[in-house]
Amino acid sequence: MLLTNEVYYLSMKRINYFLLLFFFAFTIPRQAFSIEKVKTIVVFFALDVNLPAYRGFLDGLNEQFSKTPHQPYNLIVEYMNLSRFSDEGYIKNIIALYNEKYEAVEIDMLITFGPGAYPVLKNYGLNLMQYCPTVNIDIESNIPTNAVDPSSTEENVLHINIKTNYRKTLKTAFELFPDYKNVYVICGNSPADKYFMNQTREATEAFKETHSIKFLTGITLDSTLVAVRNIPENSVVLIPSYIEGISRIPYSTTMVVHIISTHCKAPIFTLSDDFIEGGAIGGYVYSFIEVGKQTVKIAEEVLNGRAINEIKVDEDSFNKHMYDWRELKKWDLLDSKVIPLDSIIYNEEENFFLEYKWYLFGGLLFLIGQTLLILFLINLNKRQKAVARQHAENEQLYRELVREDRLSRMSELTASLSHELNQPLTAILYNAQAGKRFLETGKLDDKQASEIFNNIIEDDKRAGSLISSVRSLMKLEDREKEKVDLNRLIQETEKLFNSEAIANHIQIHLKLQNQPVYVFGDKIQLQQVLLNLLFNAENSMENNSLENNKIEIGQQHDDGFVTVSIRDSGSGFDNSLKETLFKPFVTSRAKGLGIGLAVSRSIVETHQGTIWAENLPDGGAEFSFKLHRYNEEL
Amino acid sequence: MKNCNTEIVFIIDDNHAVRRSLSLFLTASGYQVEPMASSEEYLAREAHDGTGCLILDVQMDGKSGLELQNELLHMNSYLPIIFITGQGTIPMSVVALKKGAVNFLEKPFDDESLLQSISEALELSQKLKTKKEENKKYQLLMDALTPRETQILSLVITGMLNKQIAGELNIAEHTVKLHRHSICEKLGVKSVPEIIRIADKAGISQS
Repeated sequence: MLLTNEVYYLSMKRINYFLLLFFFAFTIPRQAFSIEKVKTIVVFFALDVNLPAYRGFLDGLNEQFSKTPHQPYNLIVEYMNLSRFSDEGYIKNIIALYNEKYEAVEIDMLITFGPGAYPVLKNYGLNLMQYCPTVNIDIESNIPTNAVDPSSTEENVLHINIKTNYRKTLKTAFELFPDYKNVYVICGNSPADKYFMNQTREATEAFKETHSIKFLTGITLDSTLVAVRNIPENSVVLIPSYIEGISRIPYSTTMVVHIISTHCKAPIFTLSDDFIEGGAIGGYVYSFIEVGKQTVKIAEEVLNGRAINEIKVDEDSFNKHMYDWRELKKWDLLDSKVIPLDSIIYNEEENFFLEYKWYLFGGLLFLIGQTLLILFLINLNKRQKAVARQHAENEQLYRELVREDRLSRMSELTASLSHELNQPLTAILYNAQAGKRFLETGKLDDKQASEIFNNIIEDDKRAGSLISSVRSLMKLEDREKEKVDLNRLIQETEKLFNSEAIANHIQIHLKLQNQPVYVFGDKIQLQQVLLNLLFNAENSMENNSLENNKIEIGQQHDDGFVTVSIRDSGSGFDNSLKETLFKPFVTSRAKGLGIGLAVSRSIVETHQGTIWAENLPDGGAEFSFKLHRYNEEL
Repeated sequence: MKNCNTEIVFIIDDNHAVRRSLSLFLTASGYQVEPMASSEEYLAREAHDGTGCLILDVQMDGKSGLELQNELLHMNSYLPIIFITGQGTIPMSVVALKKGAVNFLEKPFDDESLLQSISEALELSQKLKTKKEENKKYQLLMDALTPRETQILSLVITGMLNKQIAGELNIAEHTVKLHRHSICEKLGVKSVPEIIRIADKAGISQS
């Protein structure tokens, strides 16, 4: 059962491999030949590489690119570091560098991202802009640092303006913690930080009635940490932006969020998805990842030849409900009704069972398989034991049957044996009586005495040998096999049977060679076979007239085998019985169990011999068995 | 008839040991014994004219004891038989005894039963022999009669008168008288009752 399963499983596996090969053989070349050209896109970020917004954006880009494998993209990213190096010389130099760098490279599309990136590149003459369609993504395009007014641009540009929905962000935060009435807003010192802080301050106006709102700004981060450490329990913290501390120390909002979360027990909210690195809960926020994803869609349309200014973008769609699963769990908000079902959840701690679903499933399958295997083996073991027990029982039954048969033969022989035994007993008695008489009459001479004693000894030995052969036939225990002279065994058996034969007027003729013929076997069992065959012969002559009763025991041998044949002059057997003759309980006689021949066959077969019967042409039957001759070398 | 007056116990048993021991024992007991291994051997022997008995085994190779008994009955042997057997059955012994066996002994029988049976058998044998010899004597007397005389004698012993006999045989009454006289002379008797006695002993019945 198990084996077939395994074979089935293996064959399935083989088929799977085959399918996989098939798939590769046809899909890979097709894909390879369908590529016409790799599209190259250059992204210009206004600020530094460590800005979480950029990372989110790039993540979104890459994620979406990976979903369009038929169109490979080559993405080049430039960080302009405009907030650190804002003098004109620097800007001129990097533009010159870009122009030189991309002079010989075919660029299909530009993306400018962040405050000032697009106006700077445009105003200082980036050559690529003259022919590349450009997507300009700006955050709150009315931030004061924006040096160029983007509304006065050419046609080959799509402007996307990221706008934060402060109010909804705050509302969501407050709804998540309805009992938390203290709000701490933490902001950095850069113009952008201040811009976001002011926007937030405006938005908090609507909640003035219900909440106490404090702003922590214009102080060092250390001071801020000290402050947040001691805020009341029912407080929420909002960090709109923190990219620069006092004395222009650069930070990133993500880093600050993380630091504050380690010092503050209050729930922390941010405006955008840069919280994902850890520490804030999330909420209704602006998603740079989403911007990245949508930008790829726009790029696809543009690269497929659509005019860039025809493309419309729903700027509100960048706002999403996004949460950090760990924080939700920490604040016991996983089941909150404020969180919509389609919210994007990050850092979800994979449920053990879900995460290791396949391992578990595999493990379970393995366990089940193993359990089945064990059960199967236990069952097999049980069955084997049962078979062994059955075998032992059969063996026991067989032995009992053999003994039973032997005992029944012996009981049949009892009368004859008592006669046989009476002879020497009588002889002994009368030898003794004779001696006594001679003694009484004074006629006992030495010669006579010696004769009488010799007679007694001889007769007694005869009686003794008779008894011992009877006793061994009656013995129940198994005997070791030994070297047996078959001729002698036939003679001994004939003696046991002699009286029986005489009583039934049967003449027995032995046709034996003088020299011994040895076989290796159980002497008593072989004698039992001989007795069975003799009785069988006798029984077949029951209806004969007295003169015709004759049994002939013959023995022939060659180098390998010795065959003993017992011929009778009886009625033979019904030829239809020939096949079943040696099966148990097959008998033509009214009396007897019909196990004699069956037992004989078993005995002969346990001696690696064969037994068979044939009707003789002139009446009677011949039963023969053939055994291996004893070989000294074996 | 060299054995004419001897008394022999025949031991007929195919078993050598039994035969040998019995013959030793009976020899020791003072009998003349003759052991034999089979019925056939006995039958082949010159018939024994003296007294004696047979100790006969029932089961033997060849003719069994019972078969021999049958044959001997037909042969008018007057040697009584003592059967010995190793495995006798009651029906078997009944048949044997009905046919005149003295005893039916089962081996191993004790010596007293055996000796008792032998002495009975020998006594019987003696009687039978005497009777047989007597019969033989009268038979000889009878043999001397002529056929006509025998014929007349057989009528005389039925008690018929001379006249009736003459009528029966269709002869003269005088002739009958002459024959009767001759009969009396040959048999050495004088009266009818004497004739009847001799005729009886010679085995001629009155019917």
